[in-house]
Amino acid sequence: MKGGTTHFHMQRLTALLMIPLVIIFIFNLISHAGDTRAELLEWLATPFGGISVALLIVTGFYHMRLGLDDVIDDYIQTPSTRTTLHYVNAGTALVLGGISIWSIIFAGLYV
Amino acid sequence: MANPRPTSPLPGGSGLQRADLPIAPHLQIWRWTVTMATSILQRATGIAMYGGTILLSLWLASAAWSDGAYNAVQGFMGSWFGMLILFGYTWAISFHMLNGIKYLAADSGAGLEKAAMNRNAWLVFIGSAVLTVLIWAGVFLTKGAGS
Repeated sequence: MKGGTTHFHMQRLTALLMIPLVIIFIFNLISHAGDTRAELLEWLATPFGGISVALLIVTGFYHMRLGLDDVIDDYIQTPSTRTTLHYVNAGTALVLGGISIWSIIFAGLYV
Repeated sequence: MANPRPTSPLPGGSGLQRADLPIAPHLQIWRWTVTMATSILQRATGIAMYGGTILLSLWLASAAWSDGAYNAVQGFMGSWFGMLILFGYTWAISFHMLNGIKYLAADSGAGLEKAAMNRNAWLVFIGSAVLTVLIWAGVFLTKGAGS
């Protein structure tokens, strides 16, 4: 895989960033696990709620994509299949990340 | 004993055949070690969370989408099967994070001795179980079961 050093550094950077983000998210989840829709949207519309979830989504999906790229590189030997799966992996992370970010923005507009 | 692998010359003009290379011991003959378990589980939990994070996106998107969509997702998460997935996800994220911290420490050169590696791997297992129980205790204590 090309860009291996960047991959290595970004994987670790996103890992470090996610330590506080995941801890914050766990505390948030504990207090929002049984929320009604209105309560959840109201929380996502607050600066702390929205920013902490948005940052987790961006770093989390990036980290996931990097990690699965490693798995694909390790186990898939056919170059064309490998490239295709790298595209699918990056596309999945982008689409799901995009949907999640849109949802947070929507919460801010809705409330 | 005849080597069953097909013979093909290795690049470099050494005259060596691919079949002459030493064979890596197959996974099954290794004695399980705790560091081996954490290494495999780091990857397994990572892959599992890829799926679990689709649920997180669905949860956020359903809240933005409509009352019906949100209630459907919340209903699924509250079912025994949904709770099982969430419980597994909680352990996976706890494990992956704690073991990841172990790897970050190892990247800096800390805790690379055999004894420290084994001790830290056990701590990751114990810590991830404790963290999972604490998180769920937090959910049930603040929300009450079934909410």
